[in-house]
Amino acid sequence: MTGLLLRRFRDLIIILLVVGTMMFLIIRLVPGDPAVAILGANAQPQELANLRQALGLDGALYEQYLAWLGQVVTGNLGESITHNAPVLTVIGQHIGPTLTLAVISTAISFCIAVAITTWYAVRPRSPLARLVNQSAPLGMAIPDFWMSLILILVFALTLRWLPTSGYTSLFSDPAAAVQSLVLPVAVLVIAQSALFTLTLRESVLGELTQMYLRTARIKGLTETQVVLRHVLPNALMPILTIVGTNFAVLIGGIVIIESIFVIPGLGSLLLGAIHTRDFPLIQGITLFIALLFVAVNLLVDLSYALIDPKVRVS
Amino acid sequence: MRTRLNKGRPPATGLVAVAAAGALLLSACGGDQPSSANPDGDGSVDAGEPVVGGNLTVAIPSDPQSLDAAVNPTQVAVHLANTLYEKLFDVDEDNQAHPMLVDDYTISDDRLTYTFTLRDDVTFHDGHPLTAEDVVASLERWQEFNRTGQMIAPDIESIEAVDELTVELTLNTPRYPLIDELASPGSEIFRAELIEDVGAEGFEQEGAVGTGPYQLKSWEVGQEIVLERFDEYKSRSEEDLGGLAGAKHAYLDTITFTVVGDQDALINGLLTDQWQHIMPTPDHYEQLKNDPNVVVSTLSGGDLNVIVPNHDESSIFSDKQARHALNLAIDKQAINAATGGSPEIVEEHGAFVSKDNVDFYSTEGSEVYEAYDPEKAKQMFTEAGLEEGDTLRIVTSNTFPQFNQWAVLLQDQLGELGYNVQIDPYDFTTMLDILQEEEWDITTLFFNGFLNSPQQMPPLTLGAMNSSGSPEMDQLLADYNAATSEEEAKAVVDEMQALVWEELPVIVLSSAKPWAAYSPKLKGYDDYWRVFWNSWLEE
Repeated sequence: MTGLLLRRFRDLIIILLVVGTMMFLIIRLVPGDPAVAILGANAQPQELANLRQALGLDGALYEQYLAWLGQVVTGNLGESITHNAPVLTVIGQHIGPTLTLAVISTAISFCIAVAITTWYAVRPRSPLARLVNQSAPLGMAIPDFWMSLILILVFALTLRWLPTSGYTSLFSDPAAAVQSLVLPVAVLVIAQSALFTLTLRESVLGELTQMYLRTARIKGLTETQVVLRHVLPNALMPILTIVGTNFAVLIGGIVIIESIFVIPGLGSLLLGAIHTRDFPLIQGITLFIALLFVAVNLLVDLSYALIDPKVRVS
Repeated sequence: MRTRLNKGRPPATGLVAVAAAGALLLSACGGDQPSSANPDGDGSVDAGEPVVGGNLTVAIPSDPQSLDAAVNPTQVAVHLANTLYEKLFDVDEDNQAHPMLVDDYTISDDRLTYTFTLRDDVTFHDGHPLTAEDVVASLERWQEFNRTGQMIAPDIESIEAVDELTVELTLNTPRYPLIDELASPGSEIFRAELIEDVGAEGFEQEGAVGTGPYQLKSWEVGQEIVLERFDEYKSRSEEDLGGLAGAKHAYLDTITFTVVGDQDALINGLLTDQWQHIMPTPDHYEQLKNDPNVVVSTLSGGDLNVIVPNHDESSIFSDKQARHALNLAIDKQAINAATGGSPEIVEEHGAFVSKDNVDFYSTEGSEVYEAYDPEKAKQMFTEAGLEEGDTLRIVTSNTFPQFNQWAVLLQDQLGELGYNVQIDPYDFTTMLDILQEEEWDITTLFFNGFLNSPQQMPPLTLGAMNSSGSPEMDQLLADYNAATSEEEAKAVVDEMQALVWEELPVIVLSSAKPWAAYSPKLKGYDDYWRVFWNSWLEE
């Protein structure tokens, strides 16, 4: 276990270094810098030069890189140019909404997938099972933005049950927060639960053919007991990877949902940072997301070890 | 809890003011319809009794990121600054400067010494009284970090506090637009103590202390900014100047500025009363105009939509004849009709400011603006050395969809004359960089047409971008600063306008009227951007 952790830690350092360096170079290769973005169309050359100097963008590329690297090693991601605050603080201000969305939608999707799959395993021929079977691919195929617009049209604009957009923190006003979260979470759940259900079903189907189930049935267990106690725990292994990776993707990739529902999360922060060429913030967010990917994968691996004794032994 | 108040504007005065504004505009526009007397705007005429209390939620497209108005020139920051802070002078709805923090002022005979006496009852949001020291510190910083301030700095000899409430500003050369420039965004008066040692990066939230009718209550970065009524605010007495000038009555308890970037979310939120005031893109004008549950009105000012030819030697348009050929080849009416959203929000004129910017609006050169003659254009292109089959490069941006649309229409119009047009669209920041670094022939932009000093106006000072400019224009800019009377200044403005259409630093397509859509519950709104003092919510 310690070996695994140490190896992962080594990989983490390498990954962060590579991602950070690549990001540093890529955003500087793209034309336009923060000074151009701030001063706009009618900037005078002297103004640009002054601002670049004030922002520390006037040195040679390798000097800027070394300065940045020196900062990062000490855990300092620098100051955001547009937000006038340390990058970590800015990320902290925006991670809340994204995490809330990702955690809630992943948890709900996971529960839905388990419930549906259990039902399907116990009653494979029931009409409901067939319906779900048919509609899951549809859930995956519908684009997020289209589903968002339809839900807004129906539940916000026509029925007026829910707000069309906005975000309230769960801690400041839980009632308002739940209202504003229903639609974006629903959109994410539709796509995710479909993905999880399909993956889990494949896994369950594989598990159902195993010989040990015959023993369980002979012992006198009901079909529900067989599925819950024996099939599901074994079938969950592959889906953990999917849930983990998907969670990390959500953190970095729900820009569209955040934009449609006006949620001030990490995705919209990154988009804004790219438009304004806020170099330190872009680098900070990408590093943060890379770190999150690695951390989530590590957690998934560790949970394998907890769930499956075979992994621990090997 | 809301209570009714009787101290609102008397309806009759409101009517007179609208009529007067209309008359002013009529005289300025040579008989055209006054743009601000608009039938949909609720104005103050029939709005009823003001109601005190409540919260107004206003959608803004992005977070202001810094509330330091001296260093942050973005529109959202300027609008918030207008409510939080005040300047020595502020502009009315026709962009005319009036005293705001200044009670009285004198100008010496040689026009070099300005003595400002401040109002003695003004306090900052933190309770400190306004003093001459605050003005000196703010204007010193203005010269160092603000674009307009930097532009004026060479002409300023000194700014000194004579006593507690008197400031003396000494110039080394007379400057006609000085008062207007002191009424420009960025010249806000801050507390001296709070801006000490604050550089170009701007002050943090704690520095956002002004003398305006509303003070900062809370700010969740990227989400919302809440302003609350400043109870100690002492209003000026002049009612109905409009814009940023005159009396300010804070009827609303709070104003919440909510960040909404997505256009659909913006409109849906207005329709479901999540917010009560929005400023959407032109393509939504007709839809909202036809919605009975929404009030739509056009606002003061206007954005100049321009085609920019490159005067640099690398481009054919370094030749004046080629620029005039381009002007003749552009079917401006067709472009405006296809991309303006609605004729009601497109003003077709060639002035380098918006029509209601009365001091600077001029019709000089309008025959050049109106001319459209593709055949002659082709002949002039040929004389300038552009052959059929030659390629022109348009660098544009899809950050603002209309830019790309103009480029495509231009490609079509020039294509019919036999020229190849290559369109390179980038995001806006990339585009600005490409314009500096690479060779190009044409680009597309829009500029604020509601500025109040010629040196602030891009069509006259775009040299750094497209190598335009001439000794004649420099001389006119100097002449304007040296003017001694309104007539003299106006004559210079006419010459500038004529020169713009002769040299073609930009080719104006139209002026886009800014507009707002708001809830019928919002009363007393003055059709002036995001200014909500004197506004209230109907019960």
